[in-house]
Amino acid sequence: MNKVNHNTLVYVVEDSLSSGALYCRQLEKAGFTTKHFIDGYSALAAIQQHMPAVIVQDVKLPDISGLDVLQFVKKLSSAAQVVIITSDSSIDIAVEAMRLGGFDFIEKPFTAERLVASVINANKQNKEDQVTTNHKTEKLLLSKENVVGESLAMQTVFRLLHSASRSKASVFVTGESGTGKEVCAQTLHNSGARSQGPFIAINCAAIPAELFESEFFGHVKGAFSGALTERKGAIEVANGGTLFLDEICEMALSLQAKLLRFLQTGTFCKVGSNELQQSDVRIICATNRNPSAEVGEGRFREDLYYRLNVIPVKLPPLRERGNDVLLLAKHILQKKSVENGKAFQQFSPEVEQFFLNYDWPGNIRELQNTIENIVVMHDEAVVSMSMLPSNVVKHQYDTLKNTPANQTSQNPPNPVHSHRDIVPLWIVEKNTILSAIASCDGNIPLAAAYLGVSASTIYRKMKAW
Amino acid sequence: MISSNASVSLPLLDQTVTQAIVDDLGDDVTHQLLHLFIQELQQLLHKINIATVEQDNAVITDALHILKNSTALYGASKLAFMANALYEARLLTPLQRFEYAKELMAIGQQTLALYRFHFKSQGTSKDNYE
Repeated sequence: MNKVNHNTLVYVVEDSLSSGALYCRQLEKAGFTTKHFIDGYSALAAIQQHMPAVIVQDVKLPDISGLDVLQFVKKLSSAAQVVIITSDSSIDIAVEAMRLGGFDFIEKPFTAERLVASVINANKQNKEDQVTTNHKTEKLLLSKENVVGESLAMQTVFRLLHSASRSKASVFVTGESGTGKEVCAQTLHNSGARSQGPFIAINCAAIPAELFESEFFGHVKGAFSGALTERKGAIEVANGGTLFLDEICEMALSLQAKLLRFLQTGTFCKVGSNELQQSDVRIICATNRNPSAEVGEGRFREDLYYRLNVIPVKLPPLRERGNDVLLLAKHILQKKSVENGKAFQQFSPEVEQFFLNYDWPGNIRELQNTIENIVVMHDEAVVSMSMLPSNVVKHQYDTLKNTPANQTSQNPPNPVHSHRDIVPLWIVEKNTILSAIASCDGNIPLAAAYLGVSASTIYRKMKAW
Repeated sequence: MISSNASVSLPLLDQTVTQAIVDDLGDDVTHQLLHLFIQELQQLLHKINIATVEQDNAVITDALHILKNSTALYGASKLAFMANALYEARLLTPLQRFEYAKELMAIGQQTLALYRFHFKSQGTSKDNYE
């Protein structure tokens, strides 16, 4: 028989002194350290003090049921594996115990080999679970790679996601379009206990109102014209996993009432059926609107809002994330270069400066599209200003043109009173260019972007001065 | 009524079971365990005896729950069979149960005596189970 680590602690909860003592000696011979409890409450007290690796648990105890002990253990973090021992008459209870998370059950009387083998397997499972838990922690950290960011705003988001990943509570993600709401939902799903279950995403704005109920709850054959076969809805498909409802504020009020009903009871009926079905689903929803304003204007049910808004996560716009834009840009550049077989390594300092100054109205989605455009259209090691898509440069130019300071500079120059006051055009142009370069801390490509010309034009003019 | 005939062929002490414990855990540990078993058996029989006199069915059932398993573990096969039969005999009237409990008590006392004798005759000072 395999020997195990002597520090591996096993609690034996068995109301017979002589039986419990025999089990303990058999397990000690196999290398386990054991403690014997003859009632449930003593075991619970000891479990609270120190969680063993495995608990050998009799079902019928003089004070409480062994199932109560099992349920108590399974609610705790780093729970022990529980091997249920039972006589013939309590098989049904043992089956229930397995449903509650018991590792194994053994019918009394059993051989020493059967007991020891079960405890060794339970201990092995316990170790694997610990590895899985550690792996899940790492997984959460890895998941953050997809929600890249070091800014204070994002640190807050990470903390929220970390807490949310350990519960089933509904999460309401808000943020401007393109801030990564679906990525956030997917990260939450991947990091939580439901990661092995399905992740079903529905865009509430993209489904016609008349089809929504069917998409959501499914339908039976003949429920409406065109319902030729029975179909599962998103809620049924997402059973055991996560249902992500994007653009939740676009959902019709009538459907909101049905969603609320589902959230309250966990049950639903397919369209055309009266049969109640159950589904265990975690809801994550998102909107780029202000949900409380939508509630105020009567477009979103208040009761549904409070039920969904258990953990609110607000994703900041990219323009408020400081240096995160560069972290994200580098992450995306690396990814897109690999995807497209290109050799891009980095951004030029001018491009980095441009990225930091740009207001990114389309947020991360715009940054991603910009970089993908560059990677597809060019093939260098360094991304330079001339590679930036014209729409991005033009948007920046328009933005700057409309800033109050620049609007002032666009005012007609003071009228000249004599021909001696007239300044040659090339000097006006030179002063304007030098002024722009000075405003951009010597960054010529950036100054060129602000001036609405290419950098090469400025270099050519400077050469001529 | 439960027939105790089925238990006739079963031994009061199945030495293959106790020998398996000795083989597995050695003499010293087995003696300690049997000491515990005999003490517990004595207590349980006492409990059943009082409960039978007082006609307290719940106490008998609780005692039988422990008895049927521990006796099976330590090779008291006949008593294990009877304890299990009485524990499972839900259709018996209370009176029938008490009658059968008396039969069980008699077998229990024989078993206890045999265990005491058997392990006392093994001849160590630890074996004083009186």
